[in-house]
Amino acid sequence: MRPSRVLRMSYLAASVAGVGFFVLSVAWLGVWPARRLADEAARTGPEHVVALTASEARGRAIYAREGCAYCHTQQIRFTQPDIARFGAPTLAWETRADTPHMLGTRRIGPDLSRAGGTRSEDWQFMHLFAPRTVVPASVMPSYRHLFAGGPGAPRQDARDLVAYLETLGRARELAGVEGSVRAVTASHAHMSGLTPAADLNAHPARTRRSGDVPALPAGDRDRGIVLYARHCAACHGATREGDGPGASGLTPRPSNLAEHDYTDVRMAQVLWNGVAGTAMPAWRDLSRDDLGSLVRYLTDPRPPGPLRHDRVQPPAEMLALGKRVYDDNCAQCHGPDGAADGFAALSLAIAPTNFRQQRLWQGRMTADGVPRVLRDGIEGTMMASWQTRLTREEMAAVAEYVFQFFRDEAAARALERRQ
Amino acid sequence: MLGFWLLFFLYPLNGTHHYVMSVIPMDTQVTAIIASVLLGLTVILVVANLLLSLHGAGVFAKDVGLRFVVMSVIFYLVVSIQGSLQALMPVNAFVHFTDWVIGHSHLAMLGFASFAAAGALAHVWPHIPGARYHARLVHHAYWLLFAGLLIMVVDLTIAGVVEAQLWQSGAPWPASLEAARPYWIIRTWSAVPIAGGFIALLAGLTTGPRTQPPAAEMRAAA
Repeated sequence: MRPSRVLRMSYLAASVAGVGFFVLSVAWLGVWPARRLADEAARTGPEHVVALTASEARGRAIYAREGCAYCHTQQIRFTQPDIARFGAPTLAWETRADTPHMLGTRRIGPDLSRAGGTRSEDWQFMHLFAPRTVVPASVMPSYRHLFAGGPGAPRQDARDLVAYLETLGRARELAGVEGSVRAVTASHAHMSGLTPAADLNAHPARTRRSGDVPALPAGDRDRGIVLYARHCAACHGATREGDGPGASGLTPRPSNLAEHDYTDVRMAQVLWNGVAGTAMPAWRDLSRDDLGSLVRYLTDPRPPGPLRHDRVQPPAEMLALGKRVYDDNCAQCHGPDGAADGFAALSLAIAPTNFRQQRLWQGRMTADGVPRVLRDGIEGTMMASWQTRLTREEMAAVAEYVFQFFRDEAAARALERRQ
Repeated sequence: MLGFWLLFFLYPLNGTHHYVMSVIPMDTQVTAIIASVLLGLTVILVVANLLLSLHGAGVFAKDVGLRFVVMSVIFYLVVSIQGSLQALMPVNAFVHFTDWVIGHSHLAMLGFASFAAAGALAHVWPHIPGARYHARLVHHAYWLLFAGLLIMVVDLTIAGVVEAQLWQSGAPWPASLEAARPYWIIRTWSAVPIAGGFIALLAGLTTGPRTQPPAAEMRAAA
């Protein structure tokens, strides 16, 4: 064969090879893994996945339209930092019906794969409307155009978007016990080094009604002040009075921390589990040292005043009246001993206050000795206003009775040491 | 020849390295990682050949077209070695989702591809009959693009390491935003020389004296 003919053939060879290599690659790294993935999805997935409602599906389209996926991934990888921060790694079946997928390539904001149940609806509206009111360091743009003037007036776009966000991670949760067992099996098969436990299904910010709180170290008050400013002040306010810039859009409003006494146990519970039903998320993604520091800051500098052991004991007849009123009206939810274990407590979306661990600081009571909570109730919770149903004397008496429940052993010990 | 066929064979096998440590079957991921490493080695081979052929011209060649192309080849080498490293699992677990990757992709698209294209334009343009060509502007374009790209890629690479380190440490999410802020500001400003470079390149190819039309065309026109 003459050299010129060979050269002419080389174009043919290159074309055939080009197409051939491409086909090989598609088959090797496309078709074959796709079949294996489909098998795995069928093997590890639940029997059925709940479909998105019309509103949620529309929210998903808005999520895509607004470009949320440019900065938020929906893909938790099989790496320890990912699992610790965002929950169990994403499995094949979870994104099976997700077309087009929203996996994302860059994380400017956090991963949202398991964001459902981590924030309340009104927090989401507040955050979409003005992100920096609730997360001061956020670089997220404002999505004001989804609202008719304010966070309290979401357009349907905003409602649908939030409805969609609430579905993220839902399929995994609804997969139930079988789903968890299969997920663990799948993870083992996938990467033997990592063994995500069943409780890692959930995002660390997810609120829980109850959950075991680990022992927190004593913590450092100054560190607590820094952490408070960074994470808490946006809603709870710089002076802890529940009046931060993010507070205006939230119902129930963030707690006025300056107005209450909390036991260390109560504060640790709130930080570890969040307050289910409210905008207060869990903070399990903070280190235990940091949580301990926050508890220290938020419980230690209790305002001085006629408190605890040295305060004047109210007259016996006042306490008797308070007990009568309490047993008739409050015990159903707050429990006979104030431990928030009344028979109706579990039916409430937001748990009633546990008076053994939290109480109004008496120095903050109104002039007539009646706590504001009794007069006005707490908007957004089942705590109603009692002004029309109880007399002023009854309200003052029941307040005194309720204060008797508070048992702050740690603070009492500290007080004794100081004396 | 060997380089050509290896590149030809290996490139299509690389795609899955974007999904390391995802749910995609581990064999597939491993295949893509191996292909990525082999590709890196192949690129070293090819680039060594190219650069040795250029022996004598220097990194910053006198001819601006050649200078663009030489730098393009060097960027290609850097970006490919970077790519091979990034595909390795421990590195990938660290830098994935950070600004490091953004820097990497800009080095590939702006550094390798755009510089090669600009080099080709700068080489061909003065030979097109009747085209305008402003040599000084194209010369400026080279330095503006080079400086801007270098600032951006170095900046984003460091930003990526900082972000990754904070993510690994378990620090709260906003900490990574606060740490990234100065890098994002620098990155934003790096757009000035880059945009200026492209404007200068465009101006260099549309202003300046016309090249001499060939005599044959002159006669035909007459």
